[in-house]
Amino acid sequence: MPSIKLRLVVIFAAVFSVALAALGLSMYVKLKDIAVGSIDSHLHSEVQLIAGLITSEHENLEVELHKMETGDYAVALSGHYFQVVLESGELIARSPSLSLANVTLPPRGTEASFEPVLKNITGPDNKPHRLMEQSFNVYGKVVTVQASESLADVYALLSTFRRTLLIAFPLIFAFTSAAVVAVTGFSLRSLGVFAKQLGHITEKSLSERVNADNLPCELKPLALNFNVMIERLEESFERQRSFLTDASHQLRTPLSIVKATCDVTLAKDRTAGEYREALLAISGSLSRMTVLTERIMDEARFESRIFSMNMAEADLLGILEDCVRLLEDKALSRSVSVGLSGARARVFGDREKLTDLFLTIIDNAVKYNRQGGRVAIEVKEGVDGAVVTIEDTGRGIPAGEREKVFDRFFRGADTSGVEPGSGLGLSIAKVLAARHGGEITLESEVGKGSVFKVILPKKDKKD
Amino acid sequence: MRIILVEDEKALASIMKKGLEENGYSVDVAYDGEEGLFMAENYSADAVILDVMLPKLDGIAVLSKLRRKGIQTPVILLTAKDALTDKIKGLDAGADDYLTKPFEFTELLARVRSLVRRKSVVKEAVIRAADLDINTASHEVKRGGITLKMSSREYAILEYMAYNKNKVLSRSDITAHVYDESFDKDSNIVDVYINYLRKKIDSGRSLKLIVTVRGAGYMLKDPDAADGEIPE
Repeated sequence: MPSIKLRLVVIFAAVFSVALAALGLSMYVKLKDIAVGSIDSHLHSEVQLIAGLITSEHENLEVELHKMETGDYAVALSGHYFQVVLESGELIARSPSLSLANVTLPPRGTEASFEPVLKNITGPDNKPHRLMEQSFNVYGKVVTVQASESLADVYALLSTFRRTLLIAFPLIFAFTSAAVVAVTGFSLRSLGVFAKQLGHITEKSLSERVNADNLPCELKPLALNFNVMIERLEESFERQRSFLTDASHQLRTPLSIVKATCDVTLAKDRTAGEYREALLAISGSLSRMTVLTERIMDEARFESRIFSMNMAEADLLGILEDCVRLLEDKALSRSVSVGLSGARARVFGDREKLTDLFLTIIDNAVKYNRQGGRVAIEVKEGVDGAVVTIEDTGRGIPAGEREKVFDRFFRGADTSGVEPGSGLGLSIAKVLAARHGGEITLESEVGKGSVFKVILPKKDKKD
Repeated sequence: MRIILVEDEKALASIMKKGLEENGYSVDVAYDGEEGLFMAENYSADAVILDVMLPKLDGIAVLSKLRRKGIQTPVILLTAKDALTDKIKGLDAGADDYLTKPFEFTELLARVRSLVRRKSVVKEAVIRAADLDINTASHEVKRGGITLKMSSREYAILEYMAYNKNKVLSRSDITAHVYDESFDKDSNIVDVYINYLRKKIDSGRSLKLIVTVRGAGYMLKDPDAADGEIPE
């Protein structure tokens, strides 16, 4: 791609040169019209004047020339001429500028015209001339008056004009092109500033933002969108970093057991029983590490999905109906009854991810319920959003664990080993709720059950 | 030497206890911070191995409380976190050493030895008393260049006496540092082991190194020691 600056300059140069050429041409044509027009009107009045000077004397026509034998007409080959001829071609009068040089104007056209006729001729002085001829009926005879004037002055004027344009236009063109280069350069400089600001943001300084205040209004939306993108990157980066810390921390304990068991056992000769014991301890730790590795894979998959949210209007009740249907068999096998009630509530969100969110919570409510227990799901539409309440009759969550259930890798003290689980479900649900601008709250009473509330904002204007 | 091990992961605690005991240490295990704090405050241990991530009271809090009470038992922090800030936090709280999980067991042993040495008057890995050499790293005991075979309990008592050579140690001192809490403190087992040690080290030699101080206890005598602590 050629640079914006180059393209702007080329486009400007093309448009501007066409406009300049058109302007110059039209000015030239107009100027020529005006100059020739003024000669024409002068010739016209001269012809009328001369026609008025024709008198009849003894059947002969004469022109009272003394009135016209002044000024330019009195100078030989001055470029201002007139002559009066009869139908027969007989010359009855001519201006001294002609007679002094003993030349005449070219003969009249074959047909006599009583309207003025204009033509360009080569004058007696071999210069371009404008000629007007008109015939009149004077005293029963057809008399033709011809008057001509040199076009030399007009041509000189036009050539001066042409020369001026040829010098002025390239200058104007060069000057304005330079101005365009400067203006585009100046305008693009804020892009450079923007790029520089972006360049400073690395994965280590994702908390920085582009300062949109100093940018022109055209670039502001770009900067703001960049900031939103950086924020998401930071979020995701932060999650991954803390996840890696958590995961490596979680892996270190079983690794230490394996390491210490090997080191201690290998320090001296052992009985077969001792070796077996050591191998059992190692095997137990390896199983833990296998589960952990799977969690890490889950998290990686989740991380890649959460970044792209497919926001649309979604029917909350429909999503919950899906979840209940998906968990039907599981609930049946534990004789847990699942009830869903409430109004249709429309929310703005990613249907798939909302399904994940509710599936996790309802699945927990079924899994950790008592035999013959019950899960009640209710949808309510409030002023600022929809509230989904999921109430179970499970064993409840002790006060000390309530805050931690949303932490990654946390599993309740009495759940480990009872039900398979990664310890990630609720932490993911929490992130999903947050990404929808909502939240999850928990109330619980040991022995009675837990109430999870998912609050999602109404169909959103933003985003 | 007696060690308190505070580690909530039972499988790890049990293998560490076994390994430490096989190296002549007596080990008391606590599975949470509160229990660990209680043990460190009330048992006369030579070192505490303290996990940082603990239920009830975390390792750093246990350590701060101990130091605030003026208990200066050497502490090695064990943690799964190897971020620099965590190390600094631990050392600032008064830890003497730091080990990141997973660790080499031999490294843990070496660090425990080094901490115990730091506290004692003896600064070398091999403790000498006249022609008696006690190698605290290999647990090899030689007198006059001849290797003496020792049971781990005999060695533990000898090592404790060697670290505190030329100091009179009461029976209860010895039991407190060599046996864990499950030991019956009224038994005369220390006298029995001292007897065994005497037989192995001093029998048939003119220079007797294990001395009985009547009414007070026992002492490993190093006649070359310049600190003049040898009682008359």
